[in-house]
Amino acid sequence: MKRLSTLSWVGVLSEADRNISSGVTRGPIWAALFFVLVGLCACADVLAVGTVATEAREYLQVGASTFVLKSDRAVDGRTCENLGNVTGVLGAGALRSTSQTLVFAATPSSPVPIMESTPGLGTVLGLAHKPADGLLVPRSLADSLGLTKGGNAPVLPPMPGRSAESNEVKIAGVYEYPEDGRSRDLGYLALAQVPGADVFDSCWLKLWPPDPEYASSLLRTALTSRKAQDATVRQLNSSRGLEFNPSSQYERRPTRYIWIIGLLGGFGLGTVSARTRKLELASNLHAGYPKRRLEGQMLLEGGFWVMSGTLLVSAAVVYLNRLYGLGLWGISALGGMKVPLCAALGALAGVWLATHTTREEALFSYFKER
Amino acid sequence: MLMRGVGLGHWFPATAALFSRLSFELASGKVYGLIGPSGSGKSTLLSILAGWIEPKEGKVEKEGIAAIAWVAQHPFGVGKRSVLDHVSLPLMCRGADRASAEREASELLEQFGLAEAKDRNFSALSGGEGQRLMLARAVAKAPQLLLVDEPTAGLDRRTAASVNERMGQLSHRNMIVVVATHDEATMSACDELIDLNKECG
Repeated sequence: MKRLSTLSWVGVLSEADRNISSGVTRGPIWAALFFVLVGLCACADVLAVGTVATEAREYLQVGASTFVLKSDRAVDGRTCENLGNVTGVLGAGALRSTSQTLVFAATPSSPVPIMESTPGLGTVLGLAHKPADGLLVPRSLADSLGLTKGGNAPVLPPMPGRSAESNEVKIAGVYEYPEDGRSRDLGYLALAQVPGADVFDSCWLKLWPPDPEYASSLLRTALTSRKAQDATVRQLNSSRGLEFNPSSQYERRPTRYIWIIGLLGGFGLGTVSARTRKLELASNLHAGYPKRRLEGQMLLEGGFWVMSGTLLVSAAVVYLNRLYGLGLWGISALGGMKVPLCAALGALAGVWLATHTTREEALFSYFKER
Repeated sequence: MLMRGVGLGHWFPATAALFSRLSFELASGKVYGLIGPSGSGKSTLLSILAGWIEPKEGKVEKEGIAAIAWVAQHPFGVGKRSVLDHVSLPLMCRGADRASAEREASELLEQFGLAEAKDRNFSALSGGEGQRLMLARAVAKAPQLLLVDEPTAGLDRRTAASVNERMGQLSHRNMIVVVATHDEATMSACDELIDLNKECG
């Protein structure tokens, strides 16, 4: 029989496999403990990150990060529209009042004021794309008149956006404009879209992350030189406060250091999992098992339950992330994955260290004390 | 292979000497019985021979001894692993692949009367079977020095006899075997006896 001088790595793999399949590793128990301990930490972090993300989304949705520069007939529509291309700007568009009104056939006694806007304003108001030709109306008006995007609404006198052959206007989009503390400027009117090559009364800018000073400096570039001193910049909705720094909120979340608990918890689990097999390891060393290979075997066995536990925790993180509607691989998921990954590293380090520090003498100490 | 104890003496703090001025010579191919009443230092002397404890007096000289195997008073194994696995491991650690190791382990198990039990888990063994398994595993390591501590302690007479029978067969192997015991049946399986009380005197 040809012999090598020591145990082969194939033998190490085979020993690990037999220990896992026979239950010596107690993989399911350690994986379950890993899932509970690390899962709690990871989910707490996802919840904390999710809370920040929810606050940020709400801040954005209520228009608190939308800034409006007002100066009658002193805003250059094209410059304002082009601000939409600046980094961090989610949308920009100009608006001006008109003396026209629109009378829907369904409500002949309630004329609706018409304002003119550049196409970019639709993006500021939360529409996914710049709208096609037609009118933009707020949700409250659309609901009361039964208007839908892409539909036509009968009107009484001839009005802009109406087709020549019929007394109808096309509805290009419906925007959300609830009574949530925002200025009522666009709450009850119809927006007719016009090209930007003209002067307007205001420039609307949605900026993320919100920065009032930066927004003001950007908006003022849209002013024509005339009357520039009279211009005012205000927040569309000030009910959520002027300042909101999502990065800072994320950095200061209460669970920001929970990955350390995950790391230490994983390390503890890994250490205990190997320590409970101290005699077996010492016995193997006494049988001639080389220490480095024994460490390899234990890492393989540890890797089995660590990977199982990590997959379970990751599934919980992804599930919570989807529950928050943050997207599968959003910041919450990435943040949440940091905890199980650190815990996994900690667990493997614990397994390695506990195996590395096991001495053959442990066997003799044990029997001497018995 | 040779081992000598030269003027060995040992004691623990605040206790009388377990033994002193103990000298002996051990040669391969023989089973030595280390005898004496409880507390006379039999297990301690085994630990000194193994190199785990430094003697307070004297020294141990070894020639040609690289591998030492120890069989403890109580059998220890991995409950969910088979008898065959327990004996195969030392053989694999000496470089055999699993198939070869299992063949060789099966032969060893037959010699130790465990052929029928080879596929059973360690947790399913009786005390005597466990002790014989420990002897087979120790032999599989191919040590030059085999130290056995009270192999029949806690076993009934019939089971102890089966262990002693295997102990006696160890003298055919090329190794030094030292057995600490106060079981007369075990003593009779030994080629020579070292009486700690007598030697100390």
